[in-house]
Amino acid sequence: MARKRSLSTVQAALRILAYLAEHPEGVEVKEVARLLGKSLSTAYALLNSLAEEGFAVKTERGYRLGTTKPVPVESPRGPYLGEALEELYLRTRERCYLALLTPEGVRLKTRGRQGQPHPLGDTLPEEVHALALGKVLLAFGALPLPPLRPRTPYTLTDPLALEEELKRVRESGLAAEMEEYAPGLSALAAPLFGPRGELLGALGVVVPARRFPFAFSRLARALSEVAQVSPHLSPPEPPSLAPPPEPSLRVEAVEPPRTLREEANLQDYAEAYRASLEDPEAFFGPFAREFLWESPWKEVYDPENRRWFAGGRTNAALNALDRHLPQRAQQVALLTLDGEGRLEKWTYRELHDLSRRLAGVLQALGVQAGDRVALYLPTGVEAALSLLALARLGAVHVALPVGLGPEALRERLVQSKARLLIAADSYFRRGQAIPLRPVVEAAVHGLDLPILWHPRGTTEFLERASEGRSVEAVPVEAHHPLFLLYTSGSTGKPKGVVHGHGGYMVGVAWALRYLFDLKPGEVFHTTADLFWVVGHSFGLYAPLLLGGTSLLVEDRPDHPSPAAFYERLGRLGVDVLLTSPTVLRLLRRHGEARPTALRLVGSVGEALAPEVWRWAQENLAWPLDNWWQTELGAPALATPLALPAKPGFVGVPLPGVEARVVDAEGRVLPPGAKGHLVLLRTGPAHMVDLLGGESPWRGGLYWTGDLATWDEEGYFRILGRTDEVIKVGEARLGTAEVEAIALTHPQVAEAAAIGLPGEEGEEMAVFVVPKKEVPEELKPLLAEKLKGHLLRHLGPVPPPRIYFTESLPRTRSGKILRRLLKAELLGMDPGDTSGLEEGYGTGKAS
Amino acid sequence: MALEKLLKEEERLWAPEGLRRQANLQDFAGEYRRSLEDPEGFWGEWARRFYWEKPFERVLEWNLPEHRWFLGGTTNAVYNALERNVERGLRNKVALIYLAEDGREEKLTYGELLDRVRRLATGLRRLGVEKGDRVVIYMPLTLEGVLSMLATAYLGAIHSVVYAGLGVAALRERILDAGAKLLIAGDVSYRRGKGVDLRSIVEEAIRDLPLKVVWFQRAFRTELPEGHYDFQEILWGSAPEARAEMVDAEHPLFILYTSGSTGKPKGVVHVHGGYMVGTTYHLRTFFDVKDDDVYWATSDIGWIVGHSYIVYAPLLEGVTSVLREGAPDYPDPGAFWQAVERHRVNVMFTAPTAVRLFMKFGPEWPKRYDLSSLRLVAVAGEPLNPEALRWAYTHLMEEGQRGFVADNWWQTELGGPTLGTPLTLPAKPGFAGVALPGVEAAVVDEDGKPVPPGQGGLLVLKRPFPHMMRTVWGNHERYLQYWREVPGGVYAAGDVASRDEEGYFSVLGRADDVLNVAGHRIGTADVESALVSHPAVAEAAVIGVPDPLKGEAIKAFVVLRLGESPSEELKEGLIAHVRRELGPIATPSEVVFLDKLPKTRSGKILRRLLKAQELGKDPGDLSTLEE
Repeated sequence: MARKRSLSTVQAALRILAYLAEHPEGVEVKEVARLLGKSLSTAYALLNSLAEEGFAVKTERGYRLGTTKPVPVESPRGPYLGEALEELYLRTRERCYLALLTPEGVRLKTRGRQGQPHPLGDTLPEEVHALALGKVLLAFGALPLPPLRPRTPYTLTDPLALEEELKRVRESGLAAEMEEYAPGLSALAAPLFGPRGELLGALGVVVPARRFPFAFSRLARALSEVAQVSPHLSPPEPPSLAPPPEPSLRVEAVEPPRTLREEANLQDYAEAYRASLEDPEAFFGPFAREFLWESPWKEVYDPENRRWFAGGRTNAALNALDRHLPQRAQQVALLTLDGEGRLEKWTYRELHDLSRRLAGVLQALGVQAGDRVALYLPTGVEAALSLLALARLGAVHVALPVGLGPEALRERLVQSKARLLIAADSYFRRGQAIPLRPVVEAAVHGLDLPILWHPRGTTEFLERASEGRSVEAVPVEAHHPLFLLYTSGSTGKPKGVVHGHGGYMVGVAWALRYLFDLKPGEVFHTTADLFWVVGHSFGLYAPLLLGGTSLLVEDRPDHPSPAAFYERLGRLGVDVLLTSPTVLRLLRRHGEARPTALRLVGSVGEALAPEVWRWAQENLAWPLDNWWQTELGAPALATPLALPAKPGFVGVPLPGVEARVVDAEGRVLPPGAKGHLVLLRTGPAHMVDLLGGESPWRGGLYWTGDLATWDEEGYFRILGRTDEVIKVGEARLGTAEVEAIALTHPQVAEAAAIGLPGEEGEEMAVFVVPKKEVPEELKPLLAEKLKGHLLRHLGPVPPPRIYFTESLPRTRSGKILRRLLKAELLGMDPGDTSGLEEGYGTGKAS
Repeated sequence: MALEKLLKEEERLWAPEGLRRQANLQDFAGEYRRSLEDPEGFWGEWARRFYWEKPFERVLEWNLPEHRWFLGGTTNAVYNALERNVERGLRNKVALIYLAEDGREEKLTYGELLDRVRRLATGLRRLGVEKGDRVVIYMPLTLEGVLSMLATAYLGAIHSVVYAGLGVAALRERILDAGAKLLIAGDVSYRRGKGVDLRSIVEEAIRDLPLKVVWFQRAFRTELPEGHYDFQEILWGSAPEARAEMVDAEHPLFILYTSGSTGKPKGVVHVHGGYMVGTTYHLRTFFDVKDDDVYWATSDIGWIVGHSYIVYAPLLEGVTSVLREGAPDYPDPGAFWQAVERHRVNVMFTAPTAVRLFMKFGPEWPKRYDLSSLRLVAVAGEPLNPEALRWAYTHLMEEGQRGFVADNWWQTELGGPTLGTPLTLPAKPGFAGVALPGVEAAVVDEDGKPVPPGQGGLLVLKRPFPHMMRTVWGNHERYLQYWREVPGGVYAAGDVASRDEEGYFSVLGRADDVLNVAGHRIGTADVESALVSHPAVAEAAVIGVPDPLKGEAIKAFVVLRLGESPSEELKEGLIAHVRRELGPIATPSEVVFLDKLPKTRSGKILRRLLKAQELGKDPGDLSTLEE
């Protein structure tokens, strides 16, 4: 059987020659194709090779018999296998290769287009396991397993994974390797067996990137036909493999670079932490006194009411601007890069001047202390000035994320009782102007709400601002509301978080100096938009409060390309970056980073997986993982420079914060146990009020809603939201935990884990964004690989389902919207998706 | 007449008291005395504010007429302006604000400036520029022009900026005289909303010269021939690797050409150490600049004021310096005041010709803008007529309620203010002011004997100061002449002046055949030789005639070759010819055809006679006149 199929070329040639002999007048190609029942191109190929050998002659009317007579030869083994190579080439027209087992060793033969020498030569390289052809030889025991050595990041070098892979090759009779030898190239290979079932060699075909993935099924079919793979042939016992490596999630403490550590603004964490809890007055008092207070506070911290700086009167805008004049008049306070690529520098003098005049304009529009004013402005100087002008008046700014749909916008406008809306008529995403005016007009329809427009592409707004009468800052109580911010909708209905002037000011400034370690003269940049809490705290308030320089960028960090991001950081001399794991993963997915002058890179928004932590450390700068929430205003858990980092662990509680891991009843759990993360005390930047939501404080504890563990040294690890715990079998797995493991696989760029209702408890589903596009044919293979990978690290749980997708739905602050994935799979209503990032076309799951 | 003069002499304009009380220099008299009694202690102390890689051993070595300062010290003026300030925490402070006529602006911080200077210096070094090499800069007033100067000096190379308004002959002559290795040139400058072509001037000026050229291309980016490079590519294609070359305090920083009466421009040489020390001293004490001030010198980097007070002194002191490309009255006569309002300029340094221009447009223009930030308007370049001073005092400084108008006098050779009215002293219309610290000035007759107060004579300086020129490039003999012209071992400024009992000097004008057109020194010989180079001209003489705006305007008397006949076309042709050769500032406003020129018997043209005839004055002694 095998013999018959593999001789089809010779048989076809003989039939053609017989046909040609019958038709001395000449034969057309299509007649030959019809005769053979093959395609035109196959007929062409056969006729051409006959003509090359002189058996046929090409004429005007097609082909006729040549002058020499073919001599049928009894094929010994060699030529017969050589024909298999030829046949595969003729069928596929791609480079084919044959590994022949000979007494002298493996001989390699290739057949390809002329002028393209094969990179392998005629010997197999050491990294045979990285080749489809090699996998076949390994799977069927023809070769001993060579020492494993990483060749490219795309090559499987995990012995366990390889063992699984070889097992699969034995079962299916087909080996596939993506990224064969050179990225962008793939290959398929199959074993060649002799009549007695003995392995003669392996046959393979390369799938060049340009044919990918369309040619894949055609090539696989051709290969299996030519090689006549018989899966039932019993293979010999597989070679034994080395034991698997230790799981890569094992935690090692990493010391920060010495100079960073020695020059850190916070030298002794333990002492600072102790002092902050024992005597908040002595700890936060001197720092707070660096700011201007119209009247001093009675008490730094009142634990009963959880009030900071009660009795003190100040103004955050006064401290962000006026305090720095005249010494910093000519220092750049903000660098703004708008969506059209315009870079502008704003000095403290300019911001002070414009914001106090804008305050005058707003006052003339009737805005008074305590009034709420909504903003629907993209990140930029107009937004920054509006925030500062409102703060100056003691009014409450309510920044709403641009891109919010009309209903969501209207809901928030009504809920916040805003008496004025400052809105831009468009914003930029990926270089495109996206109109906002229709959204705003639809949202305010029927509402009695005046609008102050910022027409993009003009200086109208700034000109209008500069015409106002300067207004001096209004001193307000420390807990007087500074802003209202709706939290992003990763957990259902939005809640309005209110922050005050005094404590917030001290808290965010403290974090910027002592956690993010900002030095005078440095440039700080957060990729967060100004209308999120990270943008409020670290895009605007903290850098200005410390007299620093902050870079604000309207468009996405990776627009127009990740290279542009690095270029921007380098050119503008950014020293400290605060970004999200989403952005870091995106950069990691893009590959190698370019050199920048970055000294530190903070990460906030969700758990930072160890893989991403390491990538950031190697490619960007020392990572500063930190955890907080809109309600907390500033980092609560983090790894300051004074301590070693434990990738995967966010770190320790910062001064002023006390944290525990407890069970559902609030009982403290021992180190290593998974439980609810709660706070006993929070820092000065804690919210002063919460609108339209249940207070997180219950039984004297602040319930963060996150699942965490801690270790003996007091380092916390965030495992995901408690409402995103997956109960599979006996185990309770945090989504972040599962995702971190998935990310350690070299082919995974992003991952999201969710629990689905199953027969026994929950079933785990993992959505995966591969680093590079995976052809349909290979998805099952990769899915199997991933399953094995996850189970090895998670222990005995039912295997997860794997779904491939091009992107994950995220809130615009970067959190994965797991509830949307779940709804999609279960065909349920996804609920409020107003916080969803645009550009997420419902990811195609497979 | 006498009474009127007396009344005017009695007129005193004071700075507001608050301003005087906050002046950086409170005790002017004491400071002045100390500067003369203990010059080494005085200047040494100021010099120690800067970074010296190797501290100087001696402050001054004075062997008339050679003077050397800060001997044994090594430093770099650009290092002191950039690294030193970045390290002091000024990295994110705005160093330069560039303004265009159309309102466009660009700010560069000290950090960015350092990064760019290092990049450009790296690029220039790759093109072969080394310590001591001369780089001619023919650039419009732009950030890139300033970068070119700083990057050159950063490498210890010597820049020679040629005002990008000078013509073909002037540029070529300066390139040749300096022996330049490299030329950094702009393709266009912008004025009155239009581009002014520089490229064709440069191309003609460097024809057949073996010179590398870096083009700052704003109008078009063209394919450049071999040996020509694009500025942006050199800048951004280089990493910020270069480090400041530490040089001897007496190492030349730049050559700046100035016109003389002999026809050949003189390459005035200033050095790193003394220039850095002297110019900054006056920025703080005379211009009274504070750390957070925005400072605007309205000159161009092509002149000494631009070198000292747009670029070096403000950057060395870590303040914010404004530069504006274009015409002061474009797009409208309020353009300057709008810029003052927008950038809250505190101290402005401008020229009498600009003040006269503002006078012409009337006080309603400055009134439209908020000039409350403006404390001091310093004026130099040519004598400030009393009307202009009073107008500025009244309409810019609200009768002295807001601030002060500080007249001052100095020259390319002197690097910084020499005579002037510090804001703690009253201004006297018609008088530039008193000798400033470090300066010992006198008015003498031709034999070097002092003339009594109130009488005219030659203005001389009796001792050097750190920021005074060291030599004339390639012609030290010419340098020595400055000190030999008047007996007594004094520096002859070449100006006619008088001094009153209180020590106030009034500078009346040039003693030689040099014109002062809108503050720019133009040698009559330059214009005459440009005219004679025209094929129709046999002989030419040029005089300055009073001009309400420019101070002086150029009037040319031309004798045509045989066979040429006077015509309007020829007049225009001659004007265009001079414009092309020397640039627009040296263009004659009037051309008169004569049959012959009045000459002395030794053959010298008697410009004095032409001038006297022109102004209807007594021509004086005509004994040497040719028949």
